[in-house]
Amino acid sequence: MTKDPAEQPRGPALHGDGELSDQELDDRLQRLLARVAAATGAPDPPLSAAAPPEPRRQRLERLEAAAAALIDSEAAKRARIERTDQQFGELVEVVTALASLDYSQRVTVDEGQDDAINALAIGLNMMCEELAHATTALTRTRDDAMAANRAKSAFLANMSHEFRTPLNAIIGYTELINEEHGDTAAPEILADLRRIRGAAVHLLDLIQDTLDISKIEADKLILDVRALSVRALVDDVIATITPSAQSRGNELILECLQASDMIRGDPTRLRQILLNLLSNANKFTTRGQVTLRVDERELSGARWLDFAVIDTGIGIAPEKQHAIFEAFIQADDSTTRVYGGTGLGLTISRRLCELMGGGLTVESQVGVGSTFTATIPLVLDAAW
Amino acid sequence: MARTLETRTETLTLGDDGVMFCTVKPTAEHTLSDAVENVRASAELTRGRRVPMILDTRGTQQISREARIYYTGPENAKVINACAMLISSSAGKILGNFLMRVNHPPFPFRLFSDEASARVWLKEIGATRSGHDEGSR
Repeated sequence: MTKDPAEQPRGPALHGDGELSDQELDDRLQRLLARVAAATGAPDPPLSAAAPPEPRRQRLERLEAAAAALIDSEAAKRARIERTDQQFGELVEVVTALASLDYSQRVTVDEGQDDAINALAIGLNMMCEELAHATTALTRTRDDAMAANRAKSAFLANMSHEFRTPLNAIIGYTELINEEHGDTAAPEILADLRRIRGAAVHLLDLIQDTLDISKIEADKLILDVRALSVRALVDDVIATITPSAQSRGNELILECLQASDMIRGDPTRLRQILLNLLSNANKFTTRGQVTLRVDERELSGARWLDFAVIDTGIGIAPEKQHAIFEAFIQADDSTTRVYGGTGLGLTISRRLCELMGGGLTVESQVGVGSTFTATIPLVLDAAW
Repeated sequence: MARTLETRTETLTLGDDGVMFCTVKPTAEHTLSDAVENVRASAELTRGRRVPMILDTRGTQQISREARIYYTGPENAKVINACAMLISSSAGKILGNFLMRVNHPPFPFRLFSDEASARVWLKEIGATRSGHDEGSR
């Protein structure tokens, strides 16, 4: 690298008293002028041997003007750097706000600034605007949906209650007529009474399902946990489902493999889950087998009770196995028409299992059968 | 003969080839009222026809959200059938991409760095076909 002449040691040009000679002063002034001119971009008049030397005062004035320009230029640079720093600071603040889901901050766009920084600022500002609007719209939509859902649940709960009262009266009076006139009434009248009662009970079940799902969705279903005998529970469930299984030509099998019997749980809701699973298995199986297998196991330091309902029925296609747990959905639209039901049974059963701290899973193969397994935590009753 | 209209933020010229050339004035910040005024001016020039537009945004950077939505909404779609946006900076690229991918204009929209390529594209997609879409949609 060539060293600047202005920075050369001046030893040889000194007079005896240490002062510069006029010639040396002129030369160094000229070199300094050229250097300042180069730094500021101003043209430096070329020196000519023929031209008379520029007066020293004139050179000094040129040097002063150049130095002033240099100072202004440096001040402008400093101001620009300060604005850049400020913009960067704002960019960081906006990104920090964005990271905490605050979309209200904006970065200043400075027309005289660097294009890349302005591009970042403009992009961030637009993104914040859109996110703010989208979030507001989504929040409003969510709130509306939640309000509508609450209104629906309240409506369902009220209507279910209003329907159940007259339905219970219909069931009660058909039973009363059957008791009082069962011996004397014509057989066709008794058959009609049975149909009325059957239809009313079915309707009551549907209403009960609707009431259950609305309670579950509104987080208002409370479990009634108490001591219960697993064996007594499953015997009762099997006894309830047996007539229905026989009418469809299904063999009903009970396998109790668990060691524990007295546990703590909600017997009504457990019975509801098992009856639902067994009813489904029976409904979708004809002249086959329906098995209820109860077993216990240990997993991750906890003990679990499995109620597996295994059938040899029509099975469920893999792509439908997830959807059957969603409310009002059956494996196929035609399923409701052929087999009946609200499509709420599995939803309710799964949600009940989850409320108990467990879950409900399915394994199935079309044409082979299905296995629904309700799993609940095994909590032994301390009294036993 | 080419006709030109000036608004606060734009210079709009409908060429003999049926292409509207719209130059955004330097540093002009577009508000919703500017957008409404500009679309109205475009409609006045095209007299109800839908024409392709070359939008030269190389002089601007700022556009409000409301203006963006208006420019990419049904009112502008009544006037233009395709838009080739000319950009020359990172800010322009970000703005263009935002218009294209977030605001989703209901007409073909693409970014270009030069006018010649923009004109070729407008011709390729058929937007300049006779330049006289009668605007039945």
